[in-house]
Amino acid sequence: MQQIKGLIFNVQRYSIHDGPGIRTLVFIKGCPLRCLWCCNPEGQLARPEVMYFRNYCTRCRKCVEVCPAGAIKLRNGDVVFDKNLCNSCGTCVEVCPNNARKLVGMYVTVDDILKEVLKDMKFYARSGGGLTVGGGEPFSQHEFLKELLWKAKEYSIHTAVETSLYTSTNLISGVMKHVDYLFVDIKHIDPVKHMKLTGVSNELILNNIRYVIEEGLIGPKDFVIRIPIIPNVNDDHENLKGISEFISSLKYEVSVELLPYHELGKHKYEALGRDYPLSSLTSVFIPPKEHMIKVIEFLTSLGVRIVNT
Amino acid sequence: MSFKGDKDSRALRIKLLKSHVLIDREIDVNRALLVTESYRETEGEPPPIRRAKALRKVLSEMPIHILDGELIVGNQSHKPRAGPLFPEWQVDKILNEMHSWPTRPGDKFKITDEEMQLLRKTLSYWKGKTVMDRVLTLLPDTCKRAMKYGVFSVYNYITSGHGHFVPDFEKVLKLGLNGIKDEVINALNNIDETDPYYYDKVIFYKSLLITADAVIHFAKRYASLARELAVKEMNLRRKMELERVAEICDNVPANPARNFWEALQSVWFILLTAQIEQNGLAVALGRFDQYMYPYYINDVNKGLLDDESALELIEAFYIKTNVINKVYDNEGAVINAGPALGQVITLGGVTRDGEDAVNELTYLCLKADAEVGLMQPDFAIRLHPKISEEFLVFLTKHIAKNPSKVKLFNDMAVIPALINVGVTLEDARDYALLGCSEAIIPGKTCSGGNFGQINLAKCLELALNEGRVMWYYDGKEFHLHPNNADVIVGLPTGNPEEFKTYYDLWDAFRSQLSYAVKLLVTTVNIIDRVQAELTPHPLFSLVTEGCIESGLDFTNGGALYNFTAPIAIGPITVSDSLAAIKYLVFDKEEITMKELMKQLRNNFEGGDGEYLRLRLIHESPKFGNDNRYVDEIASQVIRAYVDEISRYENPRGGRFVASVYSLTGNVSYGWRTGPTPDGRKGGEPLNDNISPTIGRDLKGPTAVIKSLSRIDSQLLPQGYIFNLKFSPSMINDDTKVMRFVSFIRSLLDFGIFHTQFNIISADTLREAQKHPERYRGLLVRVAGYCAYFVELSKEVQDHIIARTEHENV
Repeated sequence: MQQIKGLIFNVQRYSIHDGPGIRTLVFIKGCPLRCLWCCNPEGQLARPEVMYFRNYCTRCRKCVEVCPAGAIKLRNGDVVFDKNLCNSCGTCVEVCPNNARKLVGMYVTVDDILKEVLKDMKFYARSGGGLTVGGGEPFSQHEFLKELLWKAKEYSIHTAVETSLYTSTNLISGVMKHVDYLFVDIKHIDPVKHMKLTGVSNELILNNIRYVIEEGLIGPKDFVIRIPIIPNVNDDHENLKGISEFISSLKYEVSVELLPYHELGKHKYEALGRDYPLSSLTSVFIPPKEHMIKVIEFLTSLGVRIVNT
Repeated sequence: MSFKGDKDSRALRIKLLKSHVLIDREIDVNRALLVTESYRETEGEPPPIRRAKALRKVLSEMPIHILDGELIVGNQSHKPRAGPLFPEWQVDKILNEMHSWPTRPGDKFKITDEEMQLLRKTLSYWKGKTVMDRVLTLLPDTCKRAMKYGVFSVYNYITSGHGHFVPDFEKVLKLGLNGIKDEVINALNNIDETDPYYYDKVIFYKSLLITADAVIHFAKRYASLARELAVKEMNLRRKMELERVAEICDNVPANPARNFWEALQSVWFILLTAQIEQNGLAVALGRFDQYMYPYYINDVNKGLLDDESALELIEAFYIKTNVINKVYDNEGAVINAGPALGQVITLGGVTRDGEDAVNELTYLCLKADAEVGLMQPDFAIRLHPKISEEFLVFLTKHIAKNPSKVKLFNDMAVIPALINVGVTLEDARDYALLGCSEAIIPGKTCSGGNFGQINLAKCLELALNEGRVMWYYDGKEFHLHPNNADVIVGLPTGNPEEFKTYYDLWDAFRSQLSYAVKLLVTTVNIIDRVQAELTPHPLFSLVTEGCIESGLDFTNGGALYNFTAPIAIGPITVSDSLAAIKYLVFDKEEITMKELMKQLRNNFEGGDGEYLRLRLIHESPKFGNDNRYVDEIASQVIRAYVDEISRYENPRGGRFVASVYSLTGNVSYGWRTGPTPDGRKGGEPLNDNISPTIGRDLKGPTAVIKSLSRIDSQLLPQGYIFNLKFSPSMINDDTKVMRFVSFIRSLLDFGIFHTQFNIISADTLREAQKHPERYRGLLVRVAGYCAYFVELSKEVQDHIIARTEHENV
């Protein structure tokens, strides 16, 4: 039988920040949100893309010679890559000896992924770990997601999903049947600001959070709400207060994990030929420890249970 | 009298004692002068007697001291942190190189002009008489040539005694040296006069008696000194301590230890004098938490000792181990970077009955190290399926704070490996570690650990060049294609460009390896015999089961178990190289042998060379990524070495066994090895120990462990060294502690023989490189041992920084 194929951009073994124990993290490619601080921009578009890491490039010009689309040119001894002409055929990636060119996004079957996931079964068994599906947005390929999770459960692998829950509500319960642990982000409580920061409104997200809880699709011990803390963007008291009010209105107490803003994904924008969306916002900074402690103290005073370490 | 300590006074004492040893190192010329004088006096006597008398002269005439605050006494030199010289083994390098020791890149030692003058005058006696001289006159040219071009080397055992030993401390503590002397006298009185070796045995036993008395007398000197100091001491508390020290040194090691403190002092005297006898590396402490336990629990039950005071004594003991220093010549300072001596304390494991051996003292021993944190001693933790979660949690928290000081061993890998080379089940369960990863049976083994080092990558170079060296390092510069007649150091295995299949290449490598091992074995066995003849080890023999019974010296096959275990260097560089050729040349046919050889011979210079080099790096599978293709080649490479080395016997009635680690030899052998088909340029470091090549393992630690699990560790009784990369943030809360505990269990599941950690950030190391004065105490794990980072040569420092960079994922 022909298996459906999914588009993923990475499989990361020994992942220890995305659910209990030692896990393998599968990154689904494609996301309906465009968060300004996104650290995995290569996960946004639902098609393969070529990334070009300039600092690995030795200007050997092999890629210039082979590109069938004429997207790579030599200008004043330097390599210039025109993303708009690129059709992601990957020919340049094959000839590049430096790994300076990388094709992100591969179409794989569920069995392909499981083969990789099963390699660390012994570590899951010892540590209480398993499979985590993140992205991108896993629900953007919900059929593939459902099959992957279902097959993992056939092997009794613990499953976790990291999602924005920006998805049609009627797709959720089918997937959640196979999910043991759930991470959902709340990025801003104000729908207008949410739209500005992520490109979509948050109403569907908040409704879906309420939905999974009310329907009992996940238990309180297995549900974590994550808030990215982006200084001067979403860490004002008003927003934090609004989020905490929403959380306390839920049917049970949910654990909250704060994700401090970082810039580890910044170079990937350049590799994708895109501008870093936050670079125009000069007031953003990487929050030092004291900053995070203040946020944690404030949220705790509002009765939010923070599980940060 | 009981000894009571508390946390505050302990901290003060430890600070004081540490200040005695955290100072620059100096050369001690005194021992060399005394030994030379003794040898002049004993001209014409049999070598065992001359050895015993030389040791007696040193122990009875060297200046001794007791430093402020010391609870355990006994010094190797008259200076607190100095290295004595041992001209019996080699003298030329002492005389030729000593002027460079204060300023050489790593392992510096101060020496004055007057001292050098004195040495020049006195040590000329030794010319032509040393172990080195004797070996060199006998050694075939084929062996010398192979060593010159970096195929193998035999550094340790040609420049000092055996070392690599764990004395039978349990017996010393139970019987005292007087009890052991009684055994010797009994054996001496009962030799059958018609025994054809009557002469040898009488001499041997006499050497033991002289030695035992010399050690007992040495202790008595400390008793007298302590008494003198006590009389003068104004501080009442210190006065009482000194009186106690006097009482202890009067009793041990001559007699059985009566309590914990005496047991520690007795162990220290044996360890110290064993070092003074022969200067060999890795005289280790064995299963410290096992043989010390009866003395600990007995004192505790009698109310004479509590854990606070036990800690203070243990810590004072640990600090003492740092007074032992070994002076390497300039070559040795590169191979064995850092002044560590492999003084391993083995903790945990199973008992001789197979039960969990962890006890209260196991915990105290680790706690004490956390409080002291000096370079020596080193800790080997034996783990097994029955070990408690409680201990693993404690251990994990200890590792989080002291990552560099602990190495983990897996009983389920080590015990079968020992049984496989003829050790009984109960003895195998009783194993202890010494040096880096060498598992031996304490008090019963002449281990031959690290007896020679073979460069597997050079064997590959020879296979790719018809037995000729492609690359030569003269100590200063690299030479591609040294153009003289004697560059043939291997066998004519054919033109690589005409290899038709991968197996042609493999056969060529196997032939070169086989030949190199043969040359190594020839050399090593000659050294073994010269040591037995010129430098017997009567003190080692006193405290090794089998020697008194057989009437044979430790160096002459007296020990119950006898091994010779040369180490293999660069196995992963070779495996990645073989995999690259197999995959890209023979499977995919994307590169021809001709093209590859052209670029190899040219050290990948130029645009085409660099392009090919990068393809070799990126397009073929590399060890450490859970990829069977290359992992199986690695397994075959190691198996090939095991098969070759296991064919040979040593002159002590034992056999050769394999081990795989490199110390920092991967750097120095890298200098001596030409470009390799894994994309490594000539002169660059080989892979570290059995760890993946730096930067080539891309899938995280679980994949590395799975790759490593495909190496059959049960073939390697003296082990391998595996450096695991991980960052400290991994274990900073309870969830993470439990995750790490599970990770340790996984290491056991996969049969990993040895694992150690090195998790200081690269930034810290760079700072230390810039400001060594601020980072005196910064410890890093170099190979199977730790070193003070600032004392390493810049090259080794850079290597460790590179290794560290990569680990912060």
